[in-house]
Amino acid sequence: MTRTAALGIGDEVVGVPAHIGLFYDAEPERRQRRLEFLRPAIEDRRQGIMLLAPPGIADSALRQLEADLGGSLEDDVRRGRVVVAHYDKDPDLLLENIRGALDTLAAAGHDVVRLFAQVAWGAEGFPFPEDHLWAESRLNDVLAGTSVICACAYDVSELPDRALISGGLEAHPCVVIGGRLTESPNYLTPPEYMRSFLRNARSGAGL
Amino acid sequence: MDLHRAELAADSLPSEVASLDAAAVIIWANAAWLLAAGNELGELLGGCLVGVDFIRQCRARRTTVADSIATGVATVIAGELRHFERDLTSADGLRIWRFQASPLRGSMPGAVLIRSETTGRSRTAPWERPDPEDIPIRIAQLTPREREVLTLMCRGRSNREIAAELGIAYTTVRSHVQRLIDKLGARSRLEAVARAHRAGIA
Repeated sequence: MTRTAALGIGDEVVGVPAHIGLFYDAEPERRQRRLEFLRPAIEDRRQGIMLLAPPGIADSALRQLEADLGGSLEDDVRRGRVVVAHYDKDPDLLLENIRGALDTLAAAGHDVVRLFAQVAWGAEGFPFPEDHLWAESRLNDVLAGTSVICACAYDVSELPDRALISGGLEAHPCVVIGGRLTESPNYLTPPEYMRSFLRNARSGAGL
Repeated sequence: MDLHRAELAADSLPSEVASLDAAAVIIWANAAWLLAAGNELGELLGGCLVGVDFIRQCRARRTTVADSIATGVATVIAGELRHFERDLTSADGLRIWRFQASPLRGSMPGAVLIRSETTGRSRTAPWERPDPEDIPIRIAQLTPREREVLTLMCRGRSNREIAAELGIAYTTVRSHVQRLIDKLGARSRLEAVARAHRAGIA
């Protein structure tokens, strides 16, 4: 039987594990959605939290979350219930970083882990788009069999259409658009994603 | 500004995105979509604000283009079409927009609409750079082991999986990957894969 949990956004419920493309429009909505998504874990100490962001952004993302919450997470960070992890320019190392942090949280016995990943094109330490999208696709394999609900946050106000379709929609089984959860209309499994990438590379149609 | 830089600039323009419910009513739109409601494309489609029945608005324009878009979107919402795409040209013929619709499925039937100006843009991804002219020579410089690693990279394998398949250490695979990326003059793992694939490897 598939396990489910509250997404935290609206009244939506997701199967666990979940890999969700969270599309938001500019920073205020990102902060709102992040707070909604993480609040169930903040209120339920059996759940773990992982924030994933580029090196120069991760700490400020944590501070911002604390400001939005109106309280400090310092104690949770010290106890390992809240983990801040960094993107890596190397997409394979990025996956290893995620895997390592999730293993640590799982070993600590957390019932569910909520992973909020902040996509930041062009930020220092962030992979090139083609590498990032491959890592997004392969993240589905990393999450399989875990108790992780992962939301990858994409700013549609900055996103070119090709990256939106080829990356955001193809790499995530589910998407949140306008605060509503739905299956991704364009989802490809990791092998399908790779075949699609190679077809496009061959035809010169881009990624 | 050269063509490549111009394409990069054009590709960095934000897309206009909206989602429709099963009744074709716009239930969410990003700021770019709302801003564009009053431009020429918005006019063409009859203004498209949240709460508006998109298909009815298009039909009300009584133009061939708007009507075909209404039909395309209706077909997508009905689940009979996985992707609808239509290019639109301005009245003076100088500007082109691409209109795309994809279905939502699952608990909330409907559609995602994406519009973007494509004037002067190629369909090549902005991050896809031309292969160096000497790519056959570069590939010939790969060792047999690097070719094996590259072939597995082309199948989407991670370094951990490659290490397991070839029976070598993870750190050794990392070294091979970095070296072959450098040899192919690629900026990234997937650019190396794309170049290798175009050159006939895997």
